Amino acid sequence: MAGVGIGLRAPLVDDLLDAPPSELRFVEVAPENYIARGGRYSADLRRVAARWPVVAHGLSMSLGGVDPLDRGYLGRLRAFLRDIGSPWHSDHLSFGVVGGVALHELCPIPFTRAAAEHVAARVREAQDLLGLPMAVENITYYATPGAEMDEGDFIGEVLRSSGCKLLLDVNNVHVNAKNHGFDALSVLSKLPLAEVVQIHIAGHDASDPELTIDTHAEAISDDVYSLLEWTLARTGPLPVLLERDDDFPPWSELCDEVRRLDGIVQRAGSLENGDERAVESSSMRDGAACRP
Amino acid sequence: MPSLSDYESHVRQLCLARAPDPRDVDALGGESWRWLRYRRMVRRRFEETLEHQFPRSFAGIGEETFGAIVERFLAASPPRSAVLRDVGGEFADFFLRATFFALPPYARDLVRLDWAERAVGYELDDDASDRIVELVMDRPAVLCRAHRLLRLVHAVHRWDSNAEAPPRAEPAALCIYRERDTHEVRVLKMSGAGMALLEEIALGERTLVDAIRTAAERSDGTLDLDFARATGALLVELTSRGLLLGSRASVSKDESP
Repeated sequence: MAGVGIGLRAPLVDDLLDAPPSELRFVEVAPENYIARGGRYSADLRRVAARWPVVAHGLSMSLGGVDPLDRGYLGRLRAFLRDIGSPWHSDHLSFGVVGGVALHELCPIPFTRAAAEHVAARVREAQDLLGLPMAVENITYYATPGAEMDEGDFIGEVLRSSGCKLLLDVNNVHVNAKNHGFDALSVLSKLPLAEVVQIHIAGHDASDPELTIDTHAEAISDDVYSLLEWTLARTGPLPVLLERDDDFPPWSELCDEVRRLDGIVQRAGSLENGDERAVESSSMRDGAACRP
Repeated sequence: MPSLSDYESHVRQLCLARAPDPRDVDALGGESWRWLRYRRMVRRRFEETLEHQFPRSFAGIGEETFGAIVERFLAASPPRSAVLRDVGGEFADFFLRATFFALPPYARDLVRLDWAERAVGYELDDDASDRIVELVMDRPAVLCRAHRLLRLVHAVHRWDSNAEAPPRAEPAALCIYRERDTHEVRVLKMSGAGMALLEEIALGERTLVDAIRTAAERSDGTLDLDFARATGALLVELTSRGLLLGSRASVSKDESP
């Protein structure tokens, strides 16, 4: 499924079905938007699933939470994943449910050994209940609760202990680097790139000098395109998902983003096949600091 | 660093309390403005979701009062659904249970109608495995899942939120349903007898002929030719709208076909 996909959002459905970019290889859905729901949403999903492979990406598992996993929901999710034929299920390295109360926000988990073990145990439990492999996504975090290790080590620990894969959001790496004064490439270099099964890419709002916000409501910035290119040059081609959740531009602009992303994925494929011209054209290949 | 459990409880408290408690901020450590951003983001998401789900209520109650009620909801009865769209149902339950002073008399009807329209839009499709046959008089009739029946005290369904005049005190019986082909949510204003018939059918207990008889009694109608004609026309219209699916294949609800 390597290639470019797009997140299915209600305002995009008609354009997607009427004039899809030829480069589009898959569609991603948030199961929470479709489980136990009929009408337009279920009809749209059927139409889309008839044309493209569909992969699921959840919001509500609260993998870092201390409340027990919601087994009722996971049962419904399992059935949904089977229906759409998703090859895996992904959710975020965050918590959002506390004492039965749902915050509907991706809140940060402390980067501690205890938290990594806790998350890994929940990922293993979720994988068993879903009957599918899972991938976890690095989130944007605006505050850092007491940390014993950096994010790369924390993610590595969760992956090693749970056996799950990584959904790498390169925009989140960029936003975190800006907000916490890191070098994004150093962060990426520490991540277990061999375990990445999918990449997310999106725009962010950098208008507030105090804090850059991961909005999914702007065009992808050149910095983030460069991070993607750097990453794919090391991983080889992967499924790359364009997330656009708000302030939707004309459809043609999103199609242009899909095409630009596809070009980067294609170059990574050429690179993997030893095409030196592709190496030359990759803007992030030069400079030792870029290498992991 | 507090335990994971304590840490998460502090985040929850900080985000949902009516005012941020400095003890939560201190316990979380680091730069307090960053944690207060989380509070702002969590609250804004709920506010925007509820404003979107309750447009008439937001307009009719007013931004300030609506916001104060949302604030009270988050503090007193915070959302438990892991699915954001279901938060509106929790909010409607809270609103209809609680006592608020200085709310206009039509506020409850606004909330009931807003949520009924949302719930109908979200409702599951009819299950193709349900055994339904052509409409007959001696079996219970079946309505589509995506409908709600509402009896209101104020005609809020006709209220234009741009108008200066508030909704009129005028009882209204409404059937809110989702069209099968377009998925659009529609509001039908029902006569007394028509509403009584829909309510009897929705109970799913009586055969159609008994439902018609009971509806006539409840609405002080006489079961004469005019009533039969009006009922027949109504059943045809409800069927054409996809609201009336047909008759249950078995006579009793529990009987296996």
